[in-house]
Amino acid sequence: MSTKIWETKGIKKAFDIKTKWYGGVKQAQVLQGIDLCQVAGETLGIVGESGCGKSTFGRVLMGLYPPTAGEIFLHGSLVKSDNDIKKLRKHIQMVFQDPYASLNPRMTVREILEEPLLIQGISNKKERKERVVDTLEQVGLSSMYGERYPHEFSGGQRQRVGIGRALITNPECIICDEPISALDVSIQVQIVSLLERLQADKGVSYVFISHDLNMVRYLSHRIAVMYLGQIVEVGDVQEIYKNPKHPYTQSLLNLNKKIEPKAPIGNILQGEVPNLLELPTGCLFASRCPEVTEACYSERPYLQGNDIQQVACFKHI
Amino acid sequence: MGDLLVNIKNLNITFKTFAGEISPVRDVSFQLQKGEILGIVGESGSGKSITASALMGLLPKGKTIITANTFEVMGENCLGDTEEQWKSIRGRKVAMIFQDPMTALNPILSIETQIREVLDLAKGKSSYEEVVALLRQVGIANPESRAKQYPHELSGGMRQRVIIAMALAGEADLLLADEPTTALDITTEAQILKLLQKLCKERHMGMIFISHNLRVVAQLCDRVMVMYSGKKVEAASVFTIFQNPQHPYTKALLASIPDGKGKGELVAIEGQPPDLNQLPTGCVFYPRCNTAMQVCANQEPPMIDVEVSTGNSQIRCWLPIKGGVL
Repeated sequence: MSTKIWETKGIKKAFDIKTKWYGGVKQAQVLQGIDLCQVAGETLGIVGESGCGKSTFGRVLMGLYPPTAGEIFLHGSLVKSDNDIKKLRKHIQMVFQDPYASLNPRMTVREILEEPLLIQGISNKKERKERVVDTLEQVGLSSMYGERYPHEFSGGQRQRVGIGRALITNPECIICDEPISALDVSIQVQIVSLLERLQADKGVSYVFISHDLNMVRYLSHRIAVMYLGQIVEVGDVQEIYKNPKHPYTQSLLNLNKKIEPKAPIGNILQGEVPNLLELPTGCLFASRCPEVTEACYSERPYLQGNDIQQVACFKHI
Repeated sequence: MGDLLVNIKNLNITFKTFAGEISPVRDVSFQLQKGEILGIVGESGSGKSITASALMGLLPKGKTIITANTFEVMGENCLGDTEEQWKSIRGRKVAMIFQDPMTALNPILSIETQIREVLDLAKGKSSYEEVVALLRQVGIANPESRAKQYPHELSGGMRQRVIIAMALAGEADLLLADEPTTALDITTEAQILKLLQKLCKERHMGMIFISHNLRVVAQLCDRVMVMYSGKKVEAASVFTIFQNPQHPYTKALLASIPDGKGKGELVAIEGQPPDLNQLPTGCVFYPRCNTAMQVCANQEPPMIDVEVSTGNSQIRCWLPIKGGVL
């Protein structure tokens, strides 16, 4: 069994939402207790609709949001102080969705890439310069681009800079939050190929957050399907795509069939998505589930199963 | 021409910019029949949205030069129409659905007001009942109370339905859908696609569906036109495009989609689309084409018809002409 890079136990995150202008505050429960882990060298795909909390989880994992409850472990030791978070960021880095918004327009590419090294306390100027040149080469950019500004690059090139910034500290894990959804189809594959190559060369693991189910299947070893802040199914990617057990996973995959001319559009989920401010006590998916039973409304199912596939559904318990 | 909704031949669109003139659409021809769904596929900057905007007369006057041998919308020549003439076409004969349902609606007007505005323009009168009927048609639950609400109270899918209701209000025969589901989740996307499919069938409307999502185009469209850097590179039936693609760009596009492919099977198209200021001589795709020949670099390929088992395909490529020989 290979070692776990990180592990989360019962991560919860709630945001305060002002419901009335004179001070009514409610809590939006965005994450309902996430237990996940990642082993070295693997790609963990996280899929789900917008608002399901997949990006929030990525940010909690990076230490960008403090969790409301729950624990993060890095190499088996609990992350608790700010110092720990700084240490964590040496091992876990992030690539953001929008390559136009995630690079500071007033910094050159060299400065952008150098910044993580400065934060990590690498004071040797020569070493920093070498690592910037190395990293530019690794992400497929010419080293002379170092003195240019982000606006001089195309979207795909900017995303390469974003990947370089994440890569430069030699992290074990990079959280990719929809890294290709803002790019054109032909450029998407270039970035995906780059991620694949870096994994083969350096053994870096990825958390690949996306709503593109086909791309997640292509890249990932394991996937976690999220619905309203809860993981409803997690496990080996081939197993889940071949034999999805949770009704939500089933309906997502049903909509995302292979490209086929005039293929019928898959069955549509009926029902309303529950409000995050007033979540039901039972199964979160019950209001849209085609196979709902009486029990689903009274109690919430939690993940159960083996190492290969776990599902949070009463049908399988 | 009774059933021909759109007949465009050799359309060129040129913008006057500070950096000189650029032509994002060059020599594009296509037709659309009644009841037909034509998909336009291409990357950003390929000219697909600009082509659609031209059909609505939405390109800025004075800064745009549009030329074409034929430019007929609903059987009438619209080339050089004034703003007044376009106003009689927009909404009544041609309606458009935009990509972003968050910005296409006016945030300070209620849904009812916005739909009535379209009805007033099209018919000169409107009523609350008509609005409710339209909202019901596009599958909005509780249309009576929804009509009184404002855009921010609706979800993304719901807003897109309202926009579709507005497009239907003028009883247009031609619907231009510019990436109508790109901003939506996969489950909402399926709902909107089913709705569009149903409406086209029921009302016998023609639709031009612009998207870069090939899966959706395959499901929805009857014919597909593939654009690259302002040129039409391939046009054929949906079956030919997806089962028997002829142009190297169409083939490369399909190879770059992880459609159930295993590890290492995904093939990237190297390089980037050309800059409109510095278009290559010869074929627009040749710098990225893996079957490029000498002639591709020097001379623009003509549009030719190729006979394949799934029907005819029109492609702009030297390969079949020169027989693949260098």
